[in-house]
Amino acid sequence: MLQISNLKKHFGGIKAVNNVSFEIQENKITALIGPNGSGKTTVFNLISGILKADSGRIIFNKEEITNKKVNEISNLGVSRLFQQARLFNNLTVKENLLLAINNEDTKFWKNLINYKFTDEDYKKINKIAEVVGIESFMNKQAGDLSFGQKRLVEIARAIINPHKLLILDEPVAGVNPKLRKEILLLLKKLKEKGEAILLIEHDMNFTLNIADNVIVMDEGKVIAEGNPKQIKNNKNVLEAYLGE
Amino acid sequence: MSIITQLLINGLIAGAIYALVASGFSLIYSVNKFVHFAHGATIAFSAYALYFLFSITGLNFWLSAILAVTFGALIGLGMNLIVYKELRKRKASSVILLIASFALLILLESLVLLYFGADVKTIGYINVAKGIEIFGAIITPLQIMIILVSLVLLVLLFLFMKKTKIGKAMRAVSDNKNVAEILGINSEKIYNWTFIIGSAIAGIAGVLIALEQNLEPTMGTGLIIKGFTAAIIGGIGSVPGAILGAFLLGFAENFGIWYLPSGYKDAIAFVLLFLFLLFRPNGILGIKKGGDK
Repeated sequence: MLQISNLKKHFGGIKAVNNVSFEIQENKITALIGPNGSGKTTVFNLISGILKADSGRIIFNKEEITNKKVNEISNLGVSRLFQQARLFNNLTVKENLLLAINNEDTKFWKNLINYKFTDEDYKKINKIAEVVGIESFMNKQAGDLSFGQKRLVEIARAIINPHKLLILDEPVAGVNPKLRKEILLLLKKLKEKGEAILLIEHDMNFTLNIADNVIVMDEGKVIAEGNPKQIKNNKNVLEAYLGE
Repeated sequence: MSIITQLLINGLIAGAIYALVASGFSLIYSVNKFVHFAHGATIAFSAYALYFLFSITGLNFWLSAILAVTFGALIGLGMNLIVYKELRKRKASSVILLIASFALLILLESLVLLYFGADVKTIGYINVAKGIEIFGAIITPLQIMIILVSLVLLVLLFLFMKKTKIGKAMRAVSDNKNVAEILGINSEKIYNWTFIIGSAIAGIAGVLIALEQNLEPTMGTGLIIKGFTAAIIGGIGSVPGAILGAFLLGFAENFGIWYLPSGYKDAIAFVLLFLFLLFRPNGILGIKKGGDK
């Protein structure tokens, strides 16, 4: 459902993403791993349109999304979770989630006439709040939450944002082990529902537990691809991580 | 007694006008993240539009007023689309946008000067009415109208920002543009709407000021400085803060001239501006910067 071919992005002399190609399938969790600075987050920024590619193509659902605007890509069905907490701190948790629920926020006249969120919208966010376990602080300002709580709200927001593909940048970084397990189960559940998930993660245990397919990047290139078992025994990967 | 009530009422009238200027200005600032000084020119343009339509062309007053406000909204939108949007596309910083807004302010004021001349104009729709006496103070019906219109508008703006989806989307873009886009909110569209709404409020301010005071080509500069001061006092980026700051400024100016000659009104505003910039740059309701990332 997502095909990336010959993607390139240079920052000055640094080849952050150098001729990267891979594919993501529905019903699968794909993990993008690699040492720090290997270009994983740059790939995410190119997919979600935050950065413009120098060359190469990104096809999503048979539609070319290379260098489209960020909000257009989002509205086509790519929902993203950032590495650092990025909630709207001046809004409540509930408002943060409501904003993600549909793409009608900017239709001015329609919103003036029919300006309220529907009962269905509220049902949806209450359901996700229960699943993720954030119902107890729905009316708090997002800026007042702890790191872990913010993370959960962000995950809830990424899930509730209408999408076909979920791209998660380090979903469990800095999250306690118990929560880690819950997030793992949640992502597996989403996969069973038929969602495609692409994630970046440094926690190898977590990654190899959850991923169906693993793509390894180093110095802007894809150096290996395969199922977790194959990756564990791959020499290139060991070299990239351990040096030598 | 009567002096106090009179000063209180004068402060309220000035505050109401400043609040209209400051709320639109602050709305645009909070979402677009740059200082739109040309907002003053929007007010002057609307005031002169009313003068042109009503006093020169002889159109019906209410129709003229509505057209003048619409004109203000379109001027604001036009500035965003023609100048600011193009600069943003070229990755201009907020300082460049600020300088561009000064240029627009001067340009638009000069256009008014060119067309209407430098002499002071009056609308003359409302005959100088006898004021109503309240506790020994005098207030004219128009002044009551100014206070009421301003309060109603500010409440409507507050409800709009808090309750509607688009108000929430505006607060979202104001908070973090990148995340808003990731959620599918078109930030350019939101920028347009803040300019339309903020400038329409400026247009209403222009119409009310045109009725209460005289018109001069440079009227916008004086007003936007007051609006800016009010926004700083209240906390830049916070619309309720700007409104609070506007009324405080109105009261400070009018109670200040109890002791000082009336020519010092502007000086009072500037002293307040300096004091706040020095000792409380975040204003009364402002959000501290760099606290939470």
